[in-house]
Amino acid sequence: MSNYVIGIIDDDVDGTKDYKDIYEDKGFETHIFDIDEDSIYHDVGNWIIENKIELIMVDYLLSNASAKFNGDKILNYVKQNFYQLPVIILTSRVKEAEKSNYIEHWFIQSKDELDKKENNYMVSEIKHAIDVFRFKKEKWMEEYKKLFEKKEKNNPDETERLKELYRYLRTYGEVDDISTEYLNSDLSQKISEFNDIMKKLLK
Amino acid sequence: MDRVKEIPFNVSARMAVLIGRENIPNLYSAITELIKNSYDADADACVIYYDDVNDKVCLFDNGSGMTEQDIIDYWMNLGISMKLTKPNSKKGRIRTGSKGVGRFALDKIAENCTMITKTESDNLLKWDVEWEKLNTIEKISDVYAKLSYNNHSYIEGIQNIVHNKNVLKIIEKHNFEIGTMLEMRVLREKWTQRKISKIRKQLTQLIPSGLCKNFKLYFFTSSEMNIEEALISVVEENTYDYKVIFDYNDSILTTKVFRNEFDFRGEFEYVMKEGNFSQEDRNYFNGEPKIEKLNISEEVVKHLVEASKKIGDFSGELYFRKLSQQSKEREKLYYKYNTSIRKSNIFGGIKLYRDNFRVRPFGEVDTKSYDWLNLNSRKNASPSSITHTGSWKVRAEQMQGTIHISKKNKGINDTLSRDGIVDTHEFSVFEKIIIKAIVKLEEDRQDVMRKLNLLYQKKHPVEVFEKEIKEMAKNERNNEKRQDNNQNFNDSSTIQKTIKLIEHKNEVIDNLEDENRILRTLATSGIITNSYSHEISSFNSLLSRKLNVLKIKISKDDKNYRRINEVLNSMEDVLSNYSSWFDVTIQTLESNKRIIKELNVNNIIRNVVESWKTLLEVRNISINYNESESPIYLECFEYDLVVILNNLISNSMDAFRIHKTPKNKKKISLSCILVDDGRVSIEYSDLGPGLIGEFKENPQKVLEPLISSKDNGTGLGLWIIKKIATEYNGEVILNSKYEGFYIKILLKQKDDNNE
Repeated sequence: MSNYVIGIIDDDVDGTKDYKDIYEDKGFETHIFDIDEDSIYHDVGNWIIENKIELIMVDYLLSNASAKFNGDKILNYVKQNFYQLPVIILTSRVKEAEKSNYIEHWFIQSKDELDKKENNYMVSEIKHAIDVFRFKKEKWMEEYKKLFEKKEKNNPDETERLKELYRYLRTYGEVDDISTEYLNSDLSQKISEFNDIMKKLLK
Repeated sequence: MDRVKEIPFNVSARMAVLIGRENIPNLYSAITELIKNSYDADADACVIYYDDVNDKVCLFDNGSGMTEQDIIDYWMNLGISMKLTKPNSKKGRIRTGSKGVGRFALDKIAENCTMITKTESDNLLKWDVEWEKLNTIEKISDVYAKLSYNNHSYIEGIQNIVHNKNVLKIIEKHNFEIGTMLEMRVLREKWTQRKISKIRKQLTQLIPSGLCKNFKLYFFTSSEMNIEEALISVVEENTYDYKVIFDYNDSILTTKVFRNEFDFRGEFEYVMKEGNFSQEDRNYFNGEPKIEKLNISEEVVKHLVEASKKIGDFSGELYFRKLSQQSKEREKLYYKYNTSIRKSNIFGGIKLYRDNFRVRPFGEVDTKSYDWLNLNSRKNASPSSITHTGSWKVRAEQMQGTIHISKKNKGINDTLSRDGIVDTHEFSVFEKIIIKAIVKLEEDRQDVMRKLNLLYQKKHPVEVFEKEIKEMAKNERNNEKRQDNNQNFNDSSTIQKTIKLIEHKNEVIDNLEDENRILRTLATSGIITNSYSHEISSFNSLLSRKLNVLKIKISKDDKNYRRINEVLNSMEDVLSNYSSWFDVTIQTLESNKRIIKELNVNNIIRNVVESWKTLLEVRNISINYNESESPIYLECFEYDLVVILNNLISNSMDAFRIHKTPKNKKKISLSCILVDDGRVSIEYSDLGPGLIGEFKENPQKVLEPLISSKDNGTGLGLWIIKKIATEYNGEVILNSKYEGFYIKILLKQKDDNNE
């Protein structure tokens, strides 16, 4: 079992140093995202991919001193662009975070509570969440391989599913970059060729 | 018989200095003593020149000067005033001035002094003394001053000492043939700009505006100042409550009464309507004079009618000013808050000028003729308080002004006999006319006060009831005594029972007020903790986290000492924040802060600012305390001052946080000065959002209890401050036009004089 990789996004430099020490001690490979006023969502995305991060803890109040957006928006971005990647809000301002319309309350963890309890229970939660994520990725891979082998014979639904799984796996670098055309079945290939001819005729 | 020795008494030179210094408490008193001497010497110009380049002060006038005999007999004789031994000079002028302390004013100002003086009859005389000798030499009779004559004119003497062209222009404006000049070198205090401005401001209130025509005071405070800038002109507005200007012309007395006593503090319309004031009254309150004409010939008794036509025309200005006021009266009768007058002021009294020459001793302080109109006996005959029935009369000490007569007023015989009585018809009419003018003032003031009093009673009927009940009880007790009843004392009447009930309630109220004071302080501790609740709750978790990291580092025997040091330092910070919060909340309640005593306000403020510094630094808030030069004392509870500041700073912190104020505007300014009227003024401001919304339009509203502009605010902070200020006979002034938040809190000693 390879090392669990976690990422922390927080503008409290002092705090992130502490957390890095604590989580590394627990055996996690810990990456800190350097957030500042110029950061954009895309930077976060790149950071996740480069470091192969499997779980993210984001602070809520980032726009106080630095970024253009708060942690809830980052969480939202990650959920939309990194399917099933576990991400939570870790904040000392729970009440304020709960007011956000971007996140459900169960995504919010209190920093103060964790600090007081030496983050121990958090450790097992994190490990389990990453295990779940890895398990899902395995399942996707299984299904993808199956559908890929019989791609010429896939019905349209199966082709869609194949493309979907491709996208998920591609995000995490689990499969190589190929053209999605390649994933089309013969049947769907023939249907698209027919569509092209009809369009030309109608003109 | 044994031989008898004769041993003289000694006075040590040092004693003379000490007595002198006791009599002249500060620089301003010293300067006014010298000015009074000039006025006394019939000068019409008095010049004070502060030579900043040579660090010396020159004061010269064009009064009557001193002869050698005057200097030997009086100037060098400490403790003797000319007035006591020689009330009339050769020219018939009566000298005033008491205790002969004027010359000690010199000691207060500088170490060395040279005087030159010129009278009409003698040559220019120069007098030199080193005051320092008084410190080193034993007996005062061994201290000598040097006296010498020369042939220079007075003007040449002045020009030898003063070289500033601007100052010398005075000689062109006034006649300087005779007079006295003092050159004071090696100043004992530094004449800072601040001190000079303060003295200058106080001097504008020294000389009544009526006298300004006849006595001009110039104060040159820098080498570039010109005559117009140096002339001390009176700001009349602040120096009187009521003014009456009158003119007697062809037997008709025209009076103009000006009301300057009232400030309706935003309730003008209400008072005018509910107080039954007329349209004319509105104008009078807005500065228009009330003009009336009276035909004197019709007012006086038969045998004075002829005199009333004979005395000729004359005029005058008379000013009335209360000596003190109680805050309750001020609220009830809408007084302006004015500075109180100094008693026994040489420039006070009602003075008489004939052709611009002062006629003594009319209105002279400390003489029988100070109250030459007999205002005090008039008052004693009719001592009613202004709001009661019976006509109210002024007292001599409350009045000052000038009456102008000329040679044309032949009928007025102005020299008073030893007893101060003049028995000509003309003088009688003269006095009566002036009294009539004063009566116009008295009648108007009483009329206004009565209306305001009725209005107050309408607004506060309960107080009136309480008064009535007490009166009734008193009368009943008196009646019982008179009837000499042997009634059973337990058989109290309803009135007596009511009184007992009221007294009991008052006691309960006093106790509640004491409790209130303590609760107020506790509330402030709570308010601050409320603002800080987030930080405070995080202290615990921060420390836990840091300890966790330390344990990890140390258990791994990780030789990364730099990191360990870093963590330890950040723990220290957390602890220091924690103890700051503790200082600012719990320490306020220490028992020694709950006793009333005279305290140095500067120190208290400085300590409060220090205790907040750490907490403010964490949030990048800077605080600047501008301390006054001299210490300010106030008899107070220390925690009252601390509570005021804690609430203000806590408010600013919240405002900065909620409105996300940028770092360069997270600034707080604080200063504390003693204002002229003896009150302590604390000014506090920040560059945050200030009062917003409805509070900007109506700032006073934010001082009410349970009003807050914050989500989780308690609404008590500013209200607590207002309550404290009220207890100290002070007030709270907000300024919603300021770019940020501004508040001025005025506090006075808790005791107040009775009028």
